[in-house]
Amino acid sequence: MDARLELDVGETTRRFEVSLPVSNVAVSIARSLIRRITTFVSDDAESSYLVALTEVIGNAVDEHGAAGLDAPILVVVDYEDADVVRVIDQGRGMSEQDRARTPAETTAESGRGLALARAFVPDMTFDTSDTGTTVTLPLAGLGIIR
Amino acid sequence: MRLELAVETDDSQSEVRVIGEFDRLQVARFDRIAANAHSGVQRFVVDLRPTTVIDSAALGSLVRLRHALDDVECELVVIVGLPFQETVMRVGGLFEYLGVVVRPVS
Repeated sequence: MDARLELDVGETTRRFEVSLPVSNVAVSIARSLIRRITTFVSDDAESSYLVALTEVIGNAVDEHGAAGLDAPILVVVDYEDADVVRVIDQGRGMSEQDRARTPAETTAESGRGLALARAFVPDMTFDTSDTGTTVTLPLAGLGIIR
Repeated sequence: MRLELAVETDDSQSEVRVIGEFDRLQVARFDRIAANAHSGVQRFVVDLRPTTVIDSAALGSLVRLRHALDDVECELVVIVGLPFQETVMRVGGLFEYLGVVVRPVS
């Protein structure tokens, strides 16, 4: 597994990027990073945001895995104006249907991820094409990047 | 933060306290421990109140557990206490199916 972490901290812009491996470990690394740099308004807000982040990064890992891509998942932390975290993958993109997906049946074991992410970060946005997806997760109301 | 699973079993009930992050990295371990802990009991309790992250993979794991318990006519009770935990269960559409109860966090 490539666990290389690339950190590029700009001196003049309040923005940095981290490259995460195409592995489930990526969710844990991303959560640790965001926890360390963010002051959340409450423990519950922290858990809520981290569940949403987990789902979005998990989707990116699955997407790269399904497409056989070794390219890392990129996490961009931007605290110039509004505090946001962007998760960028190079997968096949997401249809409107994918983004709105909810589990077909209560007894289904999968398919709840984006519904959870949207519930916790309702202002989450998608910029998607057939060469990848950028999901933007604003921290507004939940915490600030310090 | 890792996941810690504390299992207590008596003649009629097993209880697993899920402490920490219950996510896609940890579901295989939960599945294994839950499979061993529900043998021969009538009630299986999963206490999620000490859990700081519950993702959709964890929900999938709980659904699998419910399927397994149905096969042996064992009741499942899932305890939550924090608002985010309630939201996960409600948005996941699993409040009733998993026998979710809300109890205060001690």
